[in-house]
Amino acid sequence: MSSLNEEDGADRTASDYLPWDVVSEILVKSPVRSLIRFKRVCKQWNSTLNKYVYFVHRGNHSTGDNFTQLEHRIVERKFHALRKVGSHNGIVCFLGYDSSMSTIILWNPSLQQSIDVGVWRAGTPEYYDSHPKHVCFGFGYDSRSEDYRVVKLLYKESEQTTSCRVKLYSLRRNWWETINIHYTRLPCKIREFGWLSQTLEAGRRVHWLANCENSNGEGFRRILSFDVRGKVFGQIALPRGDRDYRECNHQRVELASFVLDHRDRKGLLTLFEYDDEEDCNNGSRFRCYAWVMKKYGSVDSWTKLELNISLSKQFMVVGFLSESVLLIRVTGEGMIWYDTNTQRKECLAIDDDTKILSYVGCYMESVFSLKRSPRGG
Amino acid sequence: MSSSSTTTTTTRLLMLKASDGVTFEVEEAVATKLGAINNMVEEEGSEDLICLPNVNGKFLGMVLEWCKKHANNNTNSDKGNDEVNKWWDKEFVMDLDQNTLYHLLMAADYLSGTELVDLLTEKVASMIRGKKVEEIRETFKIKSDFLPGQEEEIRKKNSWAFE
Repeated sequence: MSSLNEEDGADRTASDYLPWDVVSEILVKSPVRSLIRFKRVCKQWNSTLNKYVYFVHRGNHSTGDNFTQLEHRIVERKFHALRKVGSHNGIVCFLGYDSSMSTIILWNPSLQQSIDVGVWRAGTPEYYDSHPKHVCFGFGYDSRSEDYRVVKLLYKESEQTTSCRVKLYSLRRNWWETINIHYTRLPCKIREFGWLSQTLEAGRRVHWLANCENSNGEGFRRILSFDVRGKVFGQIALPRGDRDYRECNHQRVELASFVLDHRDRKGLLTLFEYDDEEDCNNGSRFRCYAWVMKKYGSVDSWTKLELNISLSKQFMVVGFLSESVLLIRVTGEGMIWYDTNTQRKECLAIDDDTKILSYVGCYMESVFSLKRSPRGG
Repeated sequence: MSSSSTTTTTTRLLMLKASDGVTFEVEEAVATKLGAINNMVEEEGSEDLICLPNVNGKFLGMVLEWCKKHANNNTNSDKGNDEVNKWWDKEFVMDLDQNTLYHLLMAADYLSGTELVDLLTEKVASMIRGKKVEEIRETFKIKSDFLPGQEEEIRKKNSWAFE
């Protein structure tokens, strides 16, 4: 039996009672606020809790009873609109904007901390550039430098721009870096990015669904990615290739808004394809398929999952809660759980006012403090 | 030692011997819920007596009680059994005192009873959640090895968590 984890380099004074792997099992199950206090127990606990910054909250996602309202307003100010950019390892990134400014906010819900990392005031070109009509944001993490990154992609539909301007924010350095990428180094000509992004590969790659244009001026859809460490774009063809989507505009495709970490689909690129055609015999039926990329980057590995959802109202799948349970937003009804095995559906046990836009992401507890890190370096 | 040949109808019985000599006769399907025993059974095959020098009878008995319950409830894969197991688990850990809990946890860990370790560590975590640093040290029998002032420094650094 292993007793103590010697990797930590701390003095080995831990419990006489319990092997270290058991102690760490206990710590993993403790809330973040307790963990911060536990740092003072001994050197080993301190170094471990400093090193293993993230502790995944192991929730059981099978029923609706597991929602807990986090009593915390992100910011005291009011915004005209607040949009979720993305979330990773317990930190959530938002864009808030109104007539006077637009702001990028990072939020740690478990510590109830938030900071502004980019503020663009009205009247400056940056404010104009930060309006969701002209930009697209993404949130990622570089595990090598242990640094959260915000990506801001600037493009303007009207202009025949020859380059794409990327602003990359580093939380560690508290700095927005400007990267100009010449159009020849872009994967293809981009007309528009979708707002939803999916962050994969341990936070390193942010993905958007983009409307692109080929050399004949014809449009097609493609997944574009940005590597927040290597600072380069990448592209991934959709499962049915470019042609199908160019011709069938009625067919909706959306990226999953979150990808839960579970056994088979851990961190897989996931998108949903909707079939909204009317069926004369049964009235309108709306159907959906999911595509997952089993091997990252390999277009041949796109795999279609028959989800077996057929609803009489238009809907949008938000993401997988487990192997078979989906979180779905139904037009006019709000959020529901849908078990694809049993076809059972259930309204979500949260107040969901359908008039209010809501964004869904994975919640994870994290002891990462936003208040301290921007100051270092 | 049993000499009956294992056929499809008879369940194999294993004899588990604890450190204090207490023995338990349990069905193979029950004992193999413990990873350590499962390994031994697979490796040694025919050996029906298993000596466990690191676990005493009291705690081995408790671990086996848990295994028995879970092995029985898992035979018919009804969804309701999940609920039964959960309810039973709750009862199982409810009145454990700290000392028993830790010895049981050690036994479960030694025997690689992953699910049981999971249940017990959850219980410990819920017990220590609101405790003071000093109480945690007592609970885990840890001596503070900080130099004078170091603990205070950590407290200051993390004071935002206590606001």
